[in-house]
Amino acid sequence: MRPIMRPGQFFWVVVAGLSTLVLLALIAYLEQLKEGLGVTGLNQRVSWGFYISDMVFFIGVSYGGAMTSAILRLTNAPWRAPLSRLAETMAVMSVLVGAVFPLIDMGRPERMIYLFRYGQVGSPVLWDVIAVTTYLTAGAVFLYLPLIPDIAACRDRLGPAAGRVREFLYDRLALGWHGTPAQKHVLEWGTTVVAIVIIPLAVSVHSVLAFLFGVTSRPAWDSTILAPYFVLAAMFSGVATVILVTAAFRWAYHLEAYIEEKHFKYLAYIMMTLGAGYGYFMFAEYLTEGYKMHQGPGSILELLLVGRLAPFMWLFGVGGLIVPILLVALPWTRNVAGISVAALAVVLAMWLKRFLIVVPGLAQPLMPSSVVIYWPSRVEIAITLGAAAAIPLLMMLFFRLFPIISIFEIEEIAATDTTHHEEAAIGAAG
Amino acid sequence: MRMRKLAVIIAALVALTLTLSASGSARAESPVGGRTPALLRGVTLTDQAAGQATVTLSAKLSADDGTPARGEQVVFYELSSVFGERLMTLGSAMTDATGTASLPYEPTWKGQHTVVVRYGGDSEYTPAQTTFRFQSTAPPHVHQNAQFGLATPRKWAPLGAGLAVLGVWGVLGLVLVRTVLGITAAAPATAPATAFWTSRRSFRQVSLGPALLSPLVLALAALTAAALFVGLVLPRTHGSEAGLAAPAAVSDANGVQSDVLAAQVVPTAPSAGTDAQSGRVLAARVVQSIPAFSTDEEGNLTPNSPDLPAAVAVVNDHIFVLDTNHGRVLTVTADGQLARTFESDPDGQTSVAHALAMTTHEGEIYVAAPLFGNIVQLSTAGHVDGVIQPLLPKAALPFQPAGIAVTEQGDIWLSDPGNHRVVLVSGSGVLRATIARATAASGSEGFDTPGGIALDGSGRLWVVDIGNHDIKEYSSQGTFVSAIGHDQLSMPQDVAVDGSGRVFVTDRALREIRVFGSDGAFLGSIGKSDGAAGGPSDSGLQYPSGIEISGDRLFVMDRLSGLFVFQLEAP
Repeated sequence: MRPIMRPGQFFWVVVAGLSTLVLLALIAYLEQLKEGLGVTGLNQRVSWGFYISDMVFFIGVSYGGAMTSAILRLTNAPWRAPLSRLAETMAVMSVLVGAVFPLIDMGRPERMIYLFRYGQVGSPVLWDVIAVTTYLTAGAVFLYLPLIPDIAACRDRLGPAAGRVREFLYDRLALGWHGTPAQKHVLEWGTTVVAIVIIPLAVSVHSVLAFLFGVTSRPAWDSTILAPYFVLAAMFSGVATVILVTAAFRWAYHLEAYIEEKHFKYLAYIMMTLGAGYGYFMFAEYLTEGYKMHQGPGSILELLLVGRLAPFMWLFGVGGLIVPILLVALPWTRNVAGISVAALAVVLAMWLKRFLIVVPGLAQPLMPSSVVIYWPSRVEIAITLGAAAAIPLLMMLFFRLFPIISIFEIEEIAATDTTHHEEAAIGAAG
Repeated sequence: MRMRKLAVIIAALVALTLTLSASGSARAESPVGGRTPALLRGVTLTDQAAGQATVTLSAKLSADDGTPARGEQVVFYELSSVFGERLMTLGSAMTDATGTASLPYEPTWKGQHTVVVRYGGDSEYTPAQTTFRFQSTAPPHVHQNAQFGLATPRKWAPLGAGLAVLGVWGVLGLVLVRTVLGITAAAPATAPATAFWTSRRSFRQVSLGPALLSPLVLALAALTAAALFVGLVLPRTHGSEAGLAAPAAVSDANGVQSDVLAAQVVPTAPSAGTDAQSGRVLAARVVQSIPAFSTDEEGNLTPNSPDLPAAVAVVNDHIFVLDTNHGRVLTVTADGQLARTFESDPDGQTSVAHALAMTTHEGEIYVAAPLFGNIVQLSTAGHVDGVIQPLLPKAALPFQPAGIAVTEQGDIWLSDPGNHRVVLVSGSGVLRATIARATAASGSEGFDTPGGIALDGSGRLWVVDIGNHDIKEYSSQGTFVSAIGHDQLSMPQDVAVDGSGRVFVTDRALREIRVFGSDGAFLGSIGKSDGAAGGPSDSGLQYPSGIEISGDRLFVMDRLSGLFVFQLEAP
């Protein structure tokens, strides 16, 4: 409850820093809105650059957060309790930020309405908007339902000390929660159903996003495994982001008593498994394409593995896959610091990988012509950094209102453990 | 007597030499640095057979004496109108032992294609260019929709996906409503009244009314309705694209509401009346010609080379060329070279990029610029003396003038091809009059894509009506007088009137200048092409656009061949 009532000076310093980045991004976007897309590095060929890479990345990260929480909830993993709130909040804030990028990528955002007025039901663009909207709503519900008991806790424990606005908010959003068995039953039912729904929903969101690329006539995106490839990438980067966010908030909010090293290890094992899976997908794709070396995919592969973009690709392979897996696999680096470094490397590398998927696919000409060079402008860089800052900023502001750790779940799990211990003790005595 | 014959022979030789220089698109101007003048002829080697998509473009490079130039690279371009007229590179080919370079090409549209072939020159040969046209008859297939199988699943897949989305929304709505109601209803009776909208009532007693009024449920309902609309209603309407082509109501200068259609397609096929096209060839000799391009040895345009220049203007015997695709104004120097006079900022208010029309008034140059739909006023030294922004009523398409003429009083006539109108604005841009409705029309009703315009000595206005293949005459007040040339014009572009009232019209499809009397009688042609439409041609005019008359000289700006100056004879 302390972060809600009395955030330290450090909180405001960080909020000011992140807000500055967001403000700079806003100024950069206003410049783009006034001057048009000419202020970006986008061109006739590479019309998707940083912005669409950002969209894929942030929505993917969101998906990873939601999946982590939902799977752990459905499998009833007891260690999930201190992590689920962070993962779910991160999921909602990421998709909120990621969903804005298609609008930013449009030079004339007011024309978004044409997507609905002249929408083509065969177009993945339309379905992508529907899928992301649906997923955002489901994510919000998934965040809200488990939050109800904690809102009631805020209502009961903080009382008028919370201030009139927050008192009113807690009072309304708590829905009269008092933890009765009937209320618990209803809440558990609702949470479980949403957790079940959100998994296929998240898979479909990222699959539709993959179809957005896959059905476009570009050799770089011809892979038949593009959709599962995207889903796996989303999970990989999402779990890494959950680790990173958890480490940051654990350190900043002094949550060491709740979030222990074992939580990082469990998440790191998941991340390592997903990383290995992603590496396998890459190997499968590149082997089949590299063996045949058909004109289109072959030239892309050459560009990525030995061409102009090879340094970036190998940086991803080594820095984003091999090194993080080694950091987790080796016992002497398998600690909070080592795992956090591995997660940071994965997050940065997975953003780079999205960039390497989006840009070369467009830059490579379909007809004999020169390859177009894309280089982001300061406007794109500012907006990307602002978006990256917006997610922790929104989370910090959210946690000024609501508990960062699920009090209810921790108490429930502790109570269950106590009951189990008592039963075991009675059984042993008997 | 002998001396007289000798004089006639010399005069004939001079005329022959000048005529040959007029066909400079195919021939280098003069030997440069000891290099042999190169001659480039373009031909369509293989015509399309029925159902065949590919055509073989071919050009033959030779020395001036006919010796084939082998092992030289030539580049083939096609004149494209996508994003303004420009040359689209088709590819390059090397000449063989016969000096012939060939390139297979698959046209993407039916009809006439204009091909430009350029040779950049080397240490042995001078640069050269030629232009030819061909008709594409085979059905283009690159834009045909592929015929997929699985028609039935493809038809129903969106509906299935839509139902799945609705299912998810339904589940979410159900969960939310049931959880919220359940928690609220299960609150202990002793608890304070802190429920969302009610309290202290059992689950069964909770009315659904307040629940439905909750913002969350309303939002869910709205989104579900939107999904339903998108999934079920739009599929029936989107295919018509009616929204894009639907008439939009706009007002003309007189406030008359009218319907404006999308931009009209300018027909490229010759109009009816081809019999009349075989008119007389008027006597006009070329006294000067400047090629439309110059390249370095690698075939790239030199810094002073224009790129598809569109218009010409004359001020005090100084000739100015509108370098359309570079957004510049060039001047012809005393030695017949082109030099930069004005270079505009491509994105600035004074940009003349892609401008098609230019005229003069009281020693000033007026360029009708399409980027901002304004008029850039220049001195002959290239200084910007003013920018006039016409204040026009809103129209369906942006104002991109294609013709300009300035009256003696300083008012400016401008043609607006996209909106099928001609407007008169004051020197400060205030609208004074509008001719024609904002929709495509014919006869006295209006225009179908007006192009170049000109004023004669008595202030009457002449307007090229491209879509109707004629020239419209209006009084100085803008009252319709007559339409001429309908049976003699195919794709008219610009018009000029000489001191005796003769009307000169450039025609791109016919590749010549058609001349009419002030009464509309067809007098004959200048620069008449020597081949049938679509065939190879070495005639000087390939794509005549801008036209200007100064004294007894006729200036024609050909976008592909260059500037031609004809000496006119008295009628």
